[in-house]
Amino acid sequence: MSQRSLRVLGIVLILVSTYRPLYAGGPAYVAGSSFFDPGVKGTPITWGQGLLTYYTDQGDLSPVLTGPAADAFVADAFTRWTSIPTVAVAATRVGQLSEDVSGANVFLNADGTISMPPDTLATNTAEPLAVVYDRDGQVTSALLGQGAGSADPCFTNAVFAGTDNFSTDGHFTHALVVLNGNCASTSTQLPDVKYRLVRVLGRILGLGWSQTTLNPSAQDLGFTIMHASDAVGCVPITKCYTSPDVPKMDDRAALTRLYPVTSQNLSSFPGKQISVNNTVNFHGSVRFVDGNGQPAQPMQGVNVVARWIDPVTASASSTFVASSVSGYLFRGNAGNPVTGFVDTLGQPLDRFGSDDPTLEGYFELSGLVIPDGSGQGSFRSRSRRSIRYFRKLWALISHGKCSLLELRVL
Amino acid sequence: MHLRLCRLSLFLFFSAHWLSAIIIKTQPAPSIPTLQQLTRRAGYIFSGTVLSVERVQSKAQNEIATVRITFRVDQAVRGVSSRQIFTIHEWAGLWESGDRYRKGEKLLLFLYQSSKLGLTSPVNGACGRFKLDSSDKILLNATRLAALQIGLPVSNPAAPSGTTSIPSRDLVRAIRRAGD
Repeated sequence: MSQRSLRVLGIVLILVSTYRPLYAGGPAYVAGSSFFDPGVKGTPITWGQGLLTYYTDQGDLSPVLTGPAADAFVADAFTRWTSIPTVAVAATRVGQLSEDVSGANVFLNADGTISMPPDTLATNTAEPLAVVYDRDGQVTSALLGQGAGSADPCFTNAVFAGTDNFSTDGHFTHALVVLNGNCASTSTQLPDVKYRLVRVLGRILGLGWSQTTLNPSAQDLGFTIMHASDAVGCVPITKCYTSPDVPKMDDRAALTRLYPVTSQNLSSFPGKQISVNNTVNFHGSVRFVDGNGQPAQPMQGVNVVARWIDPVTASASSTFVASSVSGYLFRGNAGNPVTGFVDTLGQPLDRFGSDDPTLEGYFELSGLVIPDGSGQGSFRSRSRRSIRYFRKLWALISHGKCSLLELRVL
Repeated sequence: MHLRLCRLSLFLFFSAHWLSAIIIKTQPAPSIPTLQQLTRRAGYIFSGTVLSVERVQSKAQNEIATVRITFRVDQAVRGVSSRQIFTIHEWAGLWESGDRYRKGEKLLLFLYQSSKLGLTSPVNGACGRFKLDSSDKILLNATRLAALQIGLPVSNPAAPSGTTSIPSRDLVRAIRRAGD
């Protein structure tokens, strides 16, 4: 197969290895070998059956987003994720919290303990997601520190959240989202808040940060919404990104992997498409090779990037791109007898990430949508000098499926 | 085999530097407030060492969990004094999103004044937190350094390409100037 030859549709795999911390579209949490049931070890943590119910604050978010408008604002942000055709996830607003959460009902007790309304707390799994409208920023300031809820630090504090409870069967059971009203006081601020809310909701749904595109530009329409950090001067956010609150290919593919539409759950998600039939899926393992050129030690932490080959220009697309870090289901630091086996909070280090060695070099790039929808194409290794040490790889795919790839690093 | 491994190591090393350089040159400057803004917003500014990290569990259903972090203050700028053993509390929810300290870690911190709940966190999230190396130097990439607007620090040739190493005492001087 000549390296110049290209199929009409194709995807380039690029392996990028750096000493920087690696993120790629994928799960934020993976069940480990302690705390979670053995049967879910190595499984990304998600909301059970893809169904998330949430409750919103009784108060207003701001003068321009009073209660119902704020509810609609949040619901619209959720649809950025739930409307992806190959994703089996739904978010339903069930009702209101029992109170207007404000600085008045977030307080310090005489014994030094801190109280918040019970229906916002991690233990309240009956109301799994609480959305707080912090009209005057007092809740934000109470939780993060004096001044944190002012309008000054909106770039970082407009919306914040935490998934604060898991079940042993590998699901989220509670999360809290706080929107700072001081950052939504004028209609011109709302696109920025929406963008930040969509990112936070991505985290709530279980997505980790991504660095699929290392080198974003204003023209880079594929720059993932789940990138880890933003750029200065991006106020308003549209100054830097086109359609900033719309999930890109990597975001969509990552969520598809967490919540695939299957023949079993299709009836619960009418109008959706069975993921495996409508997307390109491939997976594999990155390994070093031994002296005989045979696969050996799995290699964790390689950012495997897939790019669509534009059939017209024959160039790798910067818009249709997704990535997966090898070993993303495997544990990170599991500790040792010298450093111990628990983290700084006393939690076992093997709480997250599997200890199954077959997952150590494993990557998965599924949920990829070929832009013209044909569902056929081919992969080939990119003939770049920078990856010459990666032995050529490619595999034919058809109808969205692909044989196992094994990448060997010489 | 050894030659191959050496070549691979060299390749990975240089390609990582090359990629970093590209990232730094072509990304817009990151979302970092200036040193003056950080200084203005902070209630506590100091460099110190993390002595302990403990989770404070909630005792009742309507209480929230916090994390208690204790530092030994090495250089005090605001709100603390040198050699003070200083304890802060953070909302435990922050720890789920990755805001963590480790025992023995050395940092220069800009923290919000404690809230009415006694909680604090770094100003502007990660922007208010600078990790120190074993020789009390802070490694900053070019964009972060530029955003801080702190004049011209001494460049360290030993620092990785595209980064600048600043002694913490120099940054503390700049903070004091910014606070004037």
